[in-house]
Amino acid sequence: MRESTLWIIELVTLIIMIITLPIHLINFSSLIIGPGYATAMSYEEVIARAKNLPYVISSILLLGAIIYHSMYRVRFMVSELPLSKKFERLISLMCLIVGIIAFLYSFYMTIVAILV
Amino acid sequence: MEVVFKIHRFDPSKDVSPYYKQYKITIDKGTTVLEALLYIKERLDNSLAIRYSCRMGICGSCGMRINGIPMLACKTQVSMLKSNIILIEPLSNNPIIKDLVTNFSNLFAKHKMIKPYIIRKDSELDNPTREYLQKPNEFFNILQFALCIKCGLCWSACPISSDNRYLGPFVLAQAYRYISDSRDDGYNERFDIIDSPHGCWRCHFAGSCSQVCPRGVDPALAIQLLKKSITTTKLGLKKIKTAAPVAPPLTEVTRKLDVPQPPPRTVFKNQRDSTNER
Amino acid sequence: MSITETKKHAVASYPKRYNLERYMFFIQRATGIFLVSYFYIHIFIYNQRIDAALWASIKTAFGNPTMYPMSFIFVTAIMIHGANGLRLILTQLGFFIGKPKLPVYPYPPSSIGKAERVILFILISVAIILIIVALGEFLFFIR
Repeated sequence: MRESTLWIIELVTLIIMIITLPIHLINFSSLIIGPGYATAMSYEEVIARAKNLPYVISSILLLGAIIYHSMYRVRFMVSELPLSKKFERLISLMCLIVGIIAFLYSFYMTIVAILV
Repeated sequence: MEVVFKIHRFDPSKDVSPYYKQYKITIDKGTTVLEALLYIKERLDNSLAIRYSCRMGICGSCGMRINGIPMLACKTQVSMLKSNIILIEPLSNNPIIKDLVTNFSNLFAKHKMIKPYIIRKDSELDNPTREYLQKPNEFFNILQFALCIKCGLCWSACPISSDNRYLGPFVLAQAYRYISDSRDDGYNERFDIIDSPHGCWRCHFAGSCSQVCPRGVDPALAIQLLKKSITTTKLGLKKIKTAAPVAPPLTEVTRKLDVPQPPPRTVFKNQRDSTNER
Repeated sequence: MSITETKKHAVASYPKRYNLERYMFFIQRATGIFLVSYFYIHIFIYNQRIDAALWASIKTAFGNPTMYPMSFIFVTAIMIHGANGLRLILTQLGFFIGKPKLPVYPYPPSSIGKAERVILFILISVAIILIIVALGEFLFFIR
């Protein structure tokens, strides 16, 4: 794929992150820090949250956005090292595979948590 | 004022590794680093290798790292550096030929890759008839980037330049200079090279290229504008511009009534030819 | 377009060190590498939530106040990374970097000029305020 297309997808993921990441952080900082921790992270509450549809949708969006952003940038960082062209392509492919595996694994676990 | 010059020395035919040699010289108020180096070469150590040409910041040959920052030696006054020990090193990220001289062939090859000339679809460049129509504001959009002297300081300052295939600040600035030129038609021809994995998206806006530029070219600005232009074109917000037309031939020109007629000819065609032959 | 003449006698001043944005670039890299490793460990751990017994053991391992400094480092990294990243998005889309102009000695670059610095300082100070708030929160609950 063209680099400019990858950059435009990156811009979309950045917009998603700007919206969903503060929600995620504020939500969890109010939940997990301090005395609320004992109940907020208990098994029952975690599973109850995993069945909450708006929460699940925003988490999946954030997950996809962060995985894309991280893998896009890791690929940049690695290809800035003095490497051969072949190795660089291998790195790009590996970034893609790691990203897809991480996303599919988390997505599968989310579905499992909904069905539990 | 006495100043110690600590100069990077490396002769690939003799030395195994680079070393630093110190020279103590007396300088005046306006002595430039280049003058000091030439003094060292003439009086103290004639084996010192430096590259310079114009001595006035126009040719861009004498780029070197002075106290760690890339600068032109001819434009840098020693007394203004405000330090008694001056460290002189060759530009980083380039292979060293000898002492302070580095090899620029990689950079110039990349500069050639982005086609640094006007590209047009019509045959006006091969068979020129008239001038191109360019507005003053279109001219001032490219003038800043056209002042680049290709001295390679930006390449040395760029933190991403350790990647040898990265196009580099001044090459991308030149790419923007030709893409944004109103007379140019070569957006699609240059797009493949600029949009490659080692093209403009590799710039992370560290801004050091603009800081060290001795001519105010501001390569960082050019690269960000290049990215913006590619993004907006890709999203369909901006159309690929068409090249400026050639000026139409003058028609129906009539002399104003109050402008007097020119005096009669004194040199005739056959007469001029005979003077040329002589 | 007009040529502006500087009234003051322009004096050449040579930089002693590189500009702030270059240091921000290295900070961005370092926090990025930290956040990537944090993120993958985070999603791996959180995906163990469906097993009740395993989740209880994870909760005792990671859920005690000794892990608060780790969380604080994460908050610091994400705030700095986010603030600087927001500036990079804006500048790479062509905001706050000025327009091409006729360079006048001593050639101040507009891309790392006043507007860009102001936006950098605003974003970084917002990030630092949030970090201080987070620090207060962590200190309050550790006690």
